[in-house]
Amino acid sequence: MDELQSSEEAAFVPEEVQTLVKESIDHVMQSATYTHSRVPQWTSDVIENCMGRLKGLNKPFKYIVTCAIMQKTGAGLHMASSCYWDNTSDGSYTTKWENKTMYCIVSVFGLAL
Amino acid sequence: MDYGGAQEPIKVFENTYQMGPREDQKVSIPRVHEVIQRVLEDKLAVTLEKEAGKKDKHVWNYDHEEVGELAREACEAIQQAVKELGYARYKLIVQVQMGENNGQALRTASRCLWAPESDVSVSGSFVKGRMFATATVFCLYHE
Repeated sequence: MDELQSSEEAAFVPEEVQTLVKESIDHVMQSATYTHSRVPQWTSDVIENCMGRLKGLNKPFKYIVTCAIMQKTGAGLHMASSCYWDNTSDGSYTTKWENKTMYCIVSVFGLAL
Repeated sequence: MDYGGAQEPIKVFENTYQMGPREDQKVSIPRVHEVIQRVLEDKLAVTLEKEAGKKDKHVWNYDHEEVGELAREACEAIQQAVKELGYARYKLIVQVQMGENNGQALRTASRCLWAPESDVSVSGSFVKGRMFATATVFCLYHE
């Protein structure tokens, strides 16, 4: 019985992370226009914000959060990821956010301890 | 041995008392970096074909689907190659970004909540002609 409970708790649930990540991005980026000098600050802030909230979930996971910000110039971008892990307990969540001048892509990977 | 219809004997594993990777089992950053660069260059080679006789004209034009395929292939190839390096008990995450070089800037940042003495991240990038590609490999130790 104990084992069953711990395996349910210890799986990565993308839905929980979804709202968390969206709120983080909205909070930091709001209605900003692309400014080259501010991009490093934005990426750091988005990630720190996400990390803080992920830690608040208090789950036995290692996290990796990646954020990519790109200016809109009509160029295309592809992001791919491939993972060698334990499918039953590990998972990832990726979201794309955009406004008139830029794209922001955030990925969260969670790996069970 | 014959157990009749009985269940198999339960296997009991002894503790190794190993808390983290040994020095020789840790991921070597230069080796992984070299693997990443090699795979990215291979995959992007098709985009660098130049028109015969004209030095600056590229034959290849950016095609959205093709680049999507290239990105997925590069991801798989890097994962395979790093697995073949043979680091035991490491989980791998490979992220590849490929896009058109249109004079725009792209900034990627990442933060990790992990065990710094055993986990490692390695990234590499390749920019040439019309394309750019970046790849990041995260290696996490798992008991």
